[in-house]
Amino acid sequence: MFAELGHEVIVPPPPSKHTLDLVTKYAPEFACIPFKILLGTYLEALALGADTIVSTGGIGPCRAGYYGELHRRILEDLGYNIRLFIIEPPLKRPGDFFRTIMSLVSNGFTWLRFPVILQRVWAKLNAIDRVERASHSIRPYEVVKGETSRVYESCLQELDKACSLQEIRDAERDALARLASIEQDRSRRPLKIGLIGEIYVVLEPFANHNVQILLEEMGALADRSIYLAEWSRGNAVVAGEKDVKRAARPFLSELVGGHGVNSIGQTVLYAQQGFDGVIQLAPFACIPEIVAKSILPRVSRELNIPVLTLFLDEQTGEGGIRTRVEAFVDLLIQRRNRREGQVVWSGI
Amino acid sequence: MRIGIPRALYFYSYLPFWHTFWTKLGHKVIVSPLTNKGILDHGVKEASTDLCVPVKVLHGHIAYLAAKDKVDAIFLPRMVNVGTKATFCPKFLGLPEMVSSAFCQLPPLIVPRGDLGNPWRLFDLCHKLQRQWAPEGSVWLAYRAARSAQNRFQREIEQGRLPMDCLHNYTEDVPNHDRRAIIPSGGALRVAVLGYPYAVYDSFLNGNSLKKLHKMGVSVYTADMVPLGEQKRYRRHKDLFWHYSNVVLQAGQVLLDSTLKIDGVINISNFACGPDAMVGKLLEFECKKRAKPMITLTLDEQTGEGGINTRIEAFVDMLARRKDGAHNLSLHGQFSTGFQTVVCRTRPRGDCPTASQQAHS
Repeated sequence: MFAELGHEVIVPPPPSKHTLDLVTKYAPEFACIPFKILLGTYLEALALGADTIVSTGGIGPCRAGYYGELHRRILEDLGYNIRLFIIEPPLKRPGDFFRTIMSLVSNGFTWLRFPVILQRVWAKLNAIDRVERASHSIRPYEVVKGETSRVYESCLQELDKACSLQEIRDAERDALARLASIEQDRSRRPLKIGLIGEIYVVLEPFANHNVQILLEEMGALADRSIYLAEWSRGNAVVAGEKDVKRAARPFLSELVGGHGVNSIGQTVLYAQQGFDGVIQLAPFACIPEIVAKSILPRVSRELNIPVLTLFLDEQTGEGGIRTRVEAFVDLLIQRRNRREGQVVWSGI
Repeated sequence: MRIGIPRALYFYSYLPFWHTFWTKLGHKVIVSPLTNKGILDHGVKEASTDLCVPVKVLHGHIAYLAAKDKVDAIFLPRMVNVGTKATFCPKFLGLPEMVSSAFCQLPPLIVPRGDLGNPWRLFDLCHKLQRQWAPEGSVWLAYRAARSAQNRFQREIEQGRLPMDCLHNYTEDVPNHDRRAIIPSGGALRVAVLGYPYAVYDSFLNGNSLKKLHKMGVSVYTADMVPLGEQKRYRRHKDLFWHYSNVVLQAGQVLLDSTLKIDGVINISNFACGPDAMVGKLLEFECKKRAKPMITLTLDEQTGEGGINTRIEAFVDMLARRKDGAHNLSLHGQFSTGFQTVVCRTRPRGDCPTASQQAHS
């Protein structure tokens, strides 16, 4: 999007171990993992020669709305001379929003092109979401382990190259067809597991150690509660997610910021839809998720749905996550068997 | 009716108001005792492991009040906001639900929503409470008495007394007959102790560090001693979102810039406190700008008094040496010992089971 607004865009490398090593030196100890990954990504982008960073702001009570401000202070303290633009929600701080947008728009740009660009970016986001959803519904049934992921990766590259609306549409149709042609075993009965939690760690595979794919390769159907395009629409343009908030109300009636209320509401919805279990993903020390976690045992008790909470930070090893997720899946299988009256395999 | 008030979190700021209010309406108020080992242990047992220690302590106080039929109801308002745009920490917003999910059996909770943008809303809230819980009482008298009690409390603190010394009218504490204010004690060193009221004034949690500093002859200034009006001068382009965090940060800047000539800052924080991750860093920048030393004491349920003592003593020693003219002690990261340069680094989490001491000499 910014390339089309007339800037050179430096895409930082995807977050890695190196990103975290860089950042643990400078970030506050108890800042959450999204804060640290973002700061690390900025540092890497700066090393590649970026002079301007665009980030988002927000209003509380979650900490994320203040990230931009603190990042700016930390980077200044490190001696970087950069411009950091913080885009505030247009309806809450209109002045700040328009000042930022105006200074981002470079010369020779006409506002007439703006809707066109927006439409294209939007179409792409939605296409990516749809292809990803398709990949998630196929992976638990795949016969050759890992094939879906391979096909999905190459589809993403195709989508990335697409520029015009028509090309995006073609690439999407092509991708969906390729995914559908993967050899599948439809006789399986995968467990249905909902993934809830804080948006960043739910969306960023590096932060959650690819837990969704991990689950699906164990043969469970993992439903993620948040997709990027859907969320952007709900929060940047219109107020969505009403039903989630309504579902949460008996357990938590106050907005606690971040995705705290959503975590509760979505657990309720998953339980109503007959899911086998829910996994909550949250950054270590994330306040809204801690509130949600404290209340989830009650939800779990009253609606009879098992919940596993994974707190993620820069020291979480993949092995730990894998062990806990495997144990959780085992538990769910046994639970289902017992419910269906089958003989329970009792171990050794 | 006997109404229980847990001595934790925001009650360190608002106990006089609510105590007077309920008493004037004809109820008996029972305040839980000062935090002790039993209360802390109970709280740790009941609360979710990932909560910060002050919220665990609150669970402990609730458990104390709930046990043995001591009270008929527990008063636990959902504090949302007081007068500014900033709200309280999300944990405060979800507090009633967290508490009721944690316990199987509780006396009824009185949970009004404290969205107190202006004084009129506070009166409105009081009015609702009165209609529900004391239909024959007079809300106006109770409200007036409560307001003046709160104002008196506020004035005493601004004159330099510590809240725990002013609260014995409302609690069963042994009154502290030492009416002297903790400042100005004529101490040679002046230290600003910055942190949330429930961490700074809970002497069990912080290893009695205020009294300790006092005994060492250090004058102690806390954020609550700075009148709100003065704090407003330090509003930022974009303030933090949390009421107590803004108080700490803004009052901290007032103290640092005041004519008091503060020698150093002790930042009392809680393990895994969300807002403090921000506040701590911003305070660090403010101290750095003014070349003031700062130490962060991080509290958790395993905090031993010994660990805190050592750190405070070392910090005060360092301040004293600095004051005596050892200005070659540079701050924030590196200091020269004459032989070699030592770099102080933040300890990684988990390395130190008691309190972790941060980067400053």
